[in-house]
Amino acid sequence: MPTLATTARDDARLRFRVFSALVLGVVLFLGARLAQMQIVEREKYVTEAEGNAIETKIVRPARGYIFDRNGILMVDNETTVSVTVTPRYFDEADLPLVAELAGRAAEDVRAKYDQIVDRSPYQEAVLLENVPFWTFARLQENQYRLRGINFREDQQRRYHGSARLTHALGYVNEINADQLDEMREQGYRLGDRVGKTGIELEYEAVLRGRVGRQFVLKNVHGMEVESYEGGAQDVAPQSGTALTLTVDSKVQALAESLFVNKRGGAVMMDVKTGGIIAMVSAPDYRLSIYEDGFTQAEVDFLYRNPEKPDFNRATMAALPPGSTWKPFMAAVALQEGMITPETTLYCGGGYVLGRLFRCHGGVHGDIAVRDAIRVSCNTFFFRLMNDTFVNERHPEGIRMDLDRWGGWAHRFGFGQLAPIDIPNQGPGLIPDSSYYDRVYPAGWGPGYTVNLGIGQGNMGVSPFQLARYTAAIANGGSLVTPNLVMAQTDPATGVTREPARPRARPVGVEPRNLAVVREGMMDVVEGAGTARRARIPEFGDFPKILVAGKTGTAENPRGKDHSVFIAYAPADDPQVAVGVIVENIGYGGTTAAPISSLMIEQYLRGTTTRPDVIQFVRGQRSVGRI
Amino acid sequence: MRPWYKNLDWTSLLLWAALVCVGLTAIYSATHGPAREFLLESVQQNFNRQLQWVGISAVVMLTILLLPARFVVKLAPAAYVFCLGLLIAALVFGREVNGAKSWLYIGPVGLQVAEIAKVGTVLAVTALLSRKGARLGNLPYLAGAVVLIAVPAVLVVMQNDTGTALVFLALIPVMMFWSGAVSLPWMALAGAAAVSVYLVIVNPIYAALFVALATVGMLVWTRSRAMAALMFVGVGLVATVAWFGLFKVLEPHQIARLVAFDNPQAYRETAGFHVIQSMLAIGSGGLFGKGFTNGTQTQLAYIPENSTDFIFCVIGEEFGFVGTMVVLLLFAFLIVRLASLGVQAGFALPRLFIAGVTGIFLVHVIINIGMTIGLMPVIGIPLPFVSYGGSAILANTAMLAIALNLHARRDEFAVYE
Repeated sequence: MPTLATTARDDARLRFRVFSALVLGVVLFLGARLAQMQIVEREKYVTEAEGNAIETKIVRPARGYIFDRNGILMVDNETTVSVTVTPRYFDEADLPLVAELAGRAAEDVRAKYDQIVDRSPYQEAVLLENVPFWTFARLQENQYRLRGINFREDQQRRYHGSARLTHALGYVNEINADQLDEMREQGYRLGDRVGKTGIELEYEAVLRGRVGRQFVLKNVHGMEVESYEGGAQDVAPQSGTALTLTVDSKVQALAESLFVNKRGGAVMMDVKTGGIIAMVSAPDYRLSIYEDGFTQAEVDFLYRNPEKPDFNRATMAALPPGSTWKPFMAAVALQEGMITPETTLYCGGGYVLGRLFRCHGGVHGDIAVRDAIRVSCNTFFFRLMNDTFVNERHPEGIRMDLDRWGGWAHRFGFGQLAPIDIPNQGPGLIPDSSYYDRVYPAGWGPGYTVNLGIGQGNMGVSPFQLARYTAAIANGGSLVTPNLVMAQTDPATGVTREPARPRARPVGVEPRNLAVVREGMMDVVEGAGTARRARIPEFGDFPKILVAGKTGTAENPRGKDHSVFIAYAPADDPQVAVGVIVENIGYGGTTAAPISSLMIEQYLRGTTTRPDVIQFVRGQRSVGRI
Repeated sequence: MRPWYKNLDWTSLLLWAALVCVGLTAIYSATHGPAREFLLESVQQNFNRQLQWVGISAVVMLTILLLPARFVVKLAPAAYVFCLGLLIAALVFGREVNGAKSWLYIGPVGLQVAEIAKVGTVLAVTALLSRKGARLGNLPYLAGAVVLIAVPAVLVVMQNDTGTALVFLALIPVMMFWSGAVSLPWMALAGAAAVSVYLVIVNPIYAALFVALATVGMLVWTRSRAMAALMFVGVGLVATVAWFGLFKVLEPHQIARLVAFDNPQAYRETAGFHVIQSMLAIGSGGLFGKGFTNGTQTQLAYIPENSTDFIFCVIGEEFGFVGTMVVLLLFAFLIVRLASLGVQAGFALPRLFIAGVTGIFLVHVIINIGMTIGLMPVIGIPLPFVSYGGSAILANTAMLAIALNLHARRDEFAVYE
């Protein structure tokens, strides 16, 4: 083996070169790794390091306020304060002082504190939730000597005024797991409060506002240290849009007071715009029970009560309309050319179809459509439903079969849901032949359907549908698009915009035919009709208000009849329409008619002048438990 | 004969000063940045104390440079005995810190005696191997050198400071290499064995490939079938034994600290945590870093010991690739420069002493930087001149000063040769 170096000096030179190569190799080895980490894969490390240290905190915006049509505040927010503690900074010896200032038992506070320490001594956690203002004030005064104690503000809904508007407004509550899965992408987080029903739900997207984001740096213990980049990346929250409702809170409050001890619903609507002026469902409750969590009594009331206070009877009820259906039948018969305004039909006190279908009020004799509405002659409308009419326009004869009847009912908005923002509607029931086939598999005939001509039998409508239908009669044939929200206002800019709505839909009945129906309906109230209690006489400087309407008494095989009334006013220049159903209470003219009348008066006059009528209505109650 | 101060190598002194400044900057960031409030009060003092130690080290350096070379050489046996005494004293009277009984307190001043002992050990080994007999490849000399190194190493292991003991043991191949007593092919065999063990941890397949390549390389280089066979059989055996020991015999938790660096995610909650956080710090620093005292990993306490063993993370995160490469190159220049001084000195004593010093520096740099970037196991040894640590900077500066002294006064050696 030849020697690699001949002299010691040369050997040292060689070894120096080897050593230098070794050092160079080390530099290349470590440098390559550093280049790979710091240049090639930098992004990966940055992402993970930021995930380590940067925490995104959601800043919840103030939820949009809600006003009534006159700008009266109905819903805003109140700040609730929770007391938090960061154990690392907190001196445990101060616990008794905190408990004393908060007016809580020292053991409870201690127990809660121990839980927090167990979880993490570095993270700020809620020690006392939703403390009253005076507790907050006392603790804040002493904050300088209570290191580690802090306060966290949150917001909850606060309701104003005497109108509850329970079902239309709906409630706000903590987001649940299912909603959270769906809505996480929109920035919702555990503990957020979201609209669960009513307007709060329908308008959640605008009421909520834009969530703000705060970036903070947290250390290895999970403790917040400071804001990231001095808050340069933070996004301030934007308060939610304020809603101005079409609701008149005074009419609403009055209507709610009239429904005391009753079961049922009422809807008042602007006949031109479809704006809902009042929407009552009884029994109802104060939405403020959702504040500060539930008590057991409140849970029982909401979910175990057989009266189902959460059920919106104004929009979800499906009850027969009774005789309030007759204006519909009259309008359709006139439009189809089955009758003219002058056509008389004979009422012999009843209509025989397999059995005798009685007319109330005895024998009406030959009667034309206006009077038939005024006196609510059943025979007249049984005939419209079942007889075949032969006249100049229909030499072959025309008959109101079930499909023709149902088609017109749909044009008037029955048996379907109205568009836009009316929450939790029910479609009601407008039967067709397949429905009868299903319910009566043994077979069915005209005897089964003739009742539909007087709004009885297998059909269901809601007070809301009745009001919309009445508005269509009153405004000359437009089925308006109902709405609860008149305007949306951006709280920051003050810019108000009115939401676009689908246009009203013509029902397909000519105005001259509807005029005939209206004359009949005006006679119901103002003439010798069935609803004289609905009259609004002159009072002081207030002139008389002409009211047109129609009573209904829906027969109820399981209990007392439902009192139904539809009305619009002023009869000579219709502005508002009302639909009222009060369950299990009797005649339409006795209960539902005065309720409608008082609501109309309150809206048109801004006050009521008939304390005796109010007294009378409040004195009545639905039969059965309330 | 040129006066010694004209022979003094100012380049090395400048490199030393640069590294010390880098270290002070990084220590300042780690202890006076936003992280300050999460640190123990004793750790918050690290910057000020390091500043004092730098002052002391500078004085010591000046003192050493002024001493005659002969004195330094004569001092070797006494220094070695003194160092052994310190190590034993630490075992008897020492205070336990982080499970290691390596601190000796003299009044208020704490000394990590293992760091000091390096100076004496290198001096003693150098003195022994620079005798004429050793240069002829005399086995007793070599065995004596191994013993000189092994005794303090064992004492350090007894202090429960295995990492530092490894540095002592690394002196053995370094001194063998420079003494000229072992021929280069045999050194290559030893080096290949070490590399193969490392590769076994990273990936056994790499190790197998390496053994094959090294065998071929050896055959091409030496044209000796015997050496090539030795490479294949010997290194292959070492690699196989390492593989068996690490992955078949020992339990995973026993080797966790040793192998966690290669797959830190698998040991995320335990031995891998520091490696992950340290790599995140350096990787996220990017090309230019996040800026002085702006590193989130550094300042939010994600990296433990970031003014001592993990100081390189501070540099990597806050000064980026530019910063890490500057530090790496400063070390490379210093080490190569020192080695060239040793060769230039022309005598065995300076060359061997400098060899020991550069070997120690190189091992520290490889292990310390390697562990922060997931290339080496987490062994708690400092980065020379940069990490906080009074004993370390004092000992390292003293070694540097002795090296420069021996080089500057090289002409005086003719007397002994």
